[in-house]
Amino acid sequence: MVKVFSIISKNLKVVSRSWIYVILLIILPTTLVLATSSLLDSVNLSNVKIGMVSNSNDLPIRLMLGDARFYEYQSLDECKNSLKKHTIPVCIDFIERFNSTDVNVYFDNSKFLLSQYARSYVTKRVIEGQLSTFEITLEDVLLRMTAIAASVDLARDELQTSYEELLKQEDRLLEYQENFSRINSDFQRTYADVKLLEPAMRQNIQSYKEIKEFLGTNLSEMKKQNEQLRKDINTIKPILQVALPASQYNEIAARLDALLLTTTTIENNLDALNSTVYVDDPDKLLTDYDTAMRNLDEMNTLLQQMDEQLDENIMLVEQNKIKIVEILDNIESNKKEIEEIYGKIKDASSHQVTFYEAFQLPEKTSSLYFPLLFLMIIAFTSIILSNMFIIDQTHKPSYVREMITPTFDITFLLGDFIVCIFIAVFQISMLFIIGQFIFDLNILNNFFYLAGISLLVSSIFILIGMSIGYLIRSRHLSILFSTFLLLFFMVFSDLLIPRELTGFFVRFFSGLNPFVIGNNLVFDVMIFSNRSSDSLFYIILLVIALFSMFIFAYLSKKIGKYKLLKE
Amino acid sequence: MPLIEFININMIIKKKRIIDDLNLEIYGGEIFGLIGRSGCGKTTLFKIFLGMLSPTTGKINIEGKNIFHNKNILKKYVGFASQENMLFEELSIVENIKYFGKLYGVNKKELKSRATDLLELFELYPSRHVLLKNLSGGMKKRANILISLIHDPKILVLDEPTIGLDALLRDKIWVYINRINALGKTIIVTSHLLQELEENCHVIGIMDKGFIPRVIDNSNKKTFQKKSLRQYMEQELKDG
Repeated sequence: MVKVFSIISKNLKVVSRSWIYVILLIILPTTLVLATSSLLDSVNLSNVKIGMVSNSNDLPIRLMLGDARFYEYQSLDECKNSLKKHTIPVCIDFIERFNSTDVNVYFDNSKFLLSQYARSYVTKRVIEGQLSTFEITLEDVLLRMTAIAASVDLARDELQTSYEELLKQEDRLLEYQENFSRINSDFQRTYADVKLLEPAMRQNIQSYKEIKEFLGTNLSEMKKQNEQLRKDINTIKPILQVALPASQYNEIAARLDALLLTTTTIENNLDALNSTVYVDDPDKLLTDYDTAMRNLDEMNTLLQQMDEQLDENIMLVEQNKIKIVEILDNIESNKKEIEEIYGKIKDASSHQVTFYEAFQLPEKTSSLYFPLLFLMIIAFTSIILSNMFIIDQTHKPSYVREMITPTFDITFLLGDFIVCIFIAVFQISMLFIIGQFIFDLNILNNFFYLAGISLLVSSIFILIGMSIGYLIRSRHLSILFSTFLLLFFMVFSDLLIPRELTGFFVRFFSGLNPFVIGNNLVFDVMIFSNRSSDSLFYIILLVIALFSMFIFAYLSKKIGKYKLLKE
Repeated sequence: MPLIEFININMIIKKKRIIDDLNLEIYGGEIFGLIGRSGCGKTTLFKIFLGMLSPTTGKINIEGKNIFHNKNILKKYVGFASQENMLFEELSIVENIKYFGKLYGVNKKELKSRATDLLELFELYPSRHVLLKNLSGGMKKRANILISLIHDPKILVLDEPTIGLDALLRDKIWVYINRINALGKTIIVTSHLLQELEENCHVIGIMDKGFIPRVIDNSNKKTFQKKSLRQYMEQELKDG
């Protein structure tokens, strides 16, 4: 056990004290794991670029596809053109039918994995969208619309009732106006008569006042004379009793008593007359008359106002009638609109999704994988073989002899590079023959183009392998490093996950991967004999990468040489 | 005037002083033997002299010209054969000659005549088309030295040319070295074997801890000098 521990301890020390071991055994695998994780983490189906032929009624499908990245096209041809350039993997077109919408989905079937993702994504989202629209949104909207329609019906009935009541009210008002006009007319006549009698009335009241005063004065005088008469009678009576015989006296006394009784009656009558005269005070009567006349004037004014208000009310009723009719018309048209929207939404829920393949694929489906396989073999052969070739070169004692000759490093670099290219050319030629005659691909028709691209890609990988060979002297570590790097290139390509599904940064950096660029350039030409319009851009990218790698390889050779001489 | 002058050469690698203020003069036509213990700085000194490394300070003159100003001239002046076979095993002797001859910029005609002369000098002519991997150890050593002369350098540097060979082959190698010297080439040779240096070198430098404390004139190759050299070496080893 002690020995095991000592071996473990020794191994750990050896590994930890060699920076190249640390890089290869710890840092590189960790980086690879992290990079691959970030690649997978960045994968999102919503990254799929969706070409959309512009249509005013494409809102429902846009809602269904949610957060997808849309690319607008004015026509289906433009959209399909982009599809064929592999700019977008999916192109969606709408054709509206009587009561449904056809959703035609064209997809890039040349990229099998991507097309599967894109197809499943669109199908899933449309189905989910339709279901959710149907189950949630649409149902909810329809329910709400039904409720609104019911409310509108109710409101319309209510308004209809109100209108009818308004008509009745108008009739009543007109009847009332007629009656009022008649009363008012009578009143006006009476009022005019009263007004006409007013001076005479005032004169009569004045006369009455004067008569009353005159009567009051005369009544008082008459009362005094009656009193005097009574006093005189009462005075005469004892005198007469004395003067006259009893019989005579009795006769006269009875007559005097009757006279006294008459005076009493007169007095009572005078009092009654006096009280009659003083009951109606002429001033009060005049005041009352003035008040009555004022009231009569006010009444006349009120009647005039009432007449006017009655007219106004009748007019208002008329206006309200017109408004209600308008509202009823609006309600009717709104109801029609609601019914139309209801119908449209019901129609919108029925999207008929049809998938169309953008490319006519070769009969042998396996041919589709040949370009990728072709690039894989080139990349693998180039990087590993060139790496091994350089390792072999640098480990020979003759390498030192070469160094002391008056020959520039770049001359050796070119010589080694050309040998590696020669080996690669052999591989490429074999692959071309296999592609042409076994997989029936369009290689000979595009020979120079394909050969050029293959050599460019191969050269880049050769220079990468050579650089590693120069920099890392240990054979196995150098090959291991090359393998790791190759793994990086493979992982950050379409091999594992279609690039189109990855996030922006992963997509950007994997877009610079010569393996990916090579595959993009070679694929269409091999399968469809069709050269992409972007090919020049990608070729320039490859040329830049080639020159960059050449400089890097040159510097690597210099560094490797310096390290070797310092040993 | 010395052919080669090492002037105040210092070399520090990773804070370690490998060559320590080394001064040395080598005259034309000499066989200069350099001896010293492992790690004393012989290989580094050779790498500097061959233009593979630049010294931290100091300069080397050949015929009075600083070699660091034009390393390609230096490479044409100097031929080098290490203790390892520095040739391509997969090529024949002729193919190696052609390859390295072209790297040194020797023209075709000159290369052909020089190759023939050297093949005859080293008695390799009959084996000229045999792949190097099929040759014996001694023949490989000779081929290695032969290639280092292909560009007709004035100076030949031989690092342990006899290592790994038996006594008979060692003597034979020295015969060839003396033949080359007889052609007017200045030879700088290292060896662990003091005896063969004593027997073949005109001057022997003893290198220790990055400098050469003593240079012994051995031009007459007399016994007393050999004795004094041996005594010195023994003393040095004892001190070390």
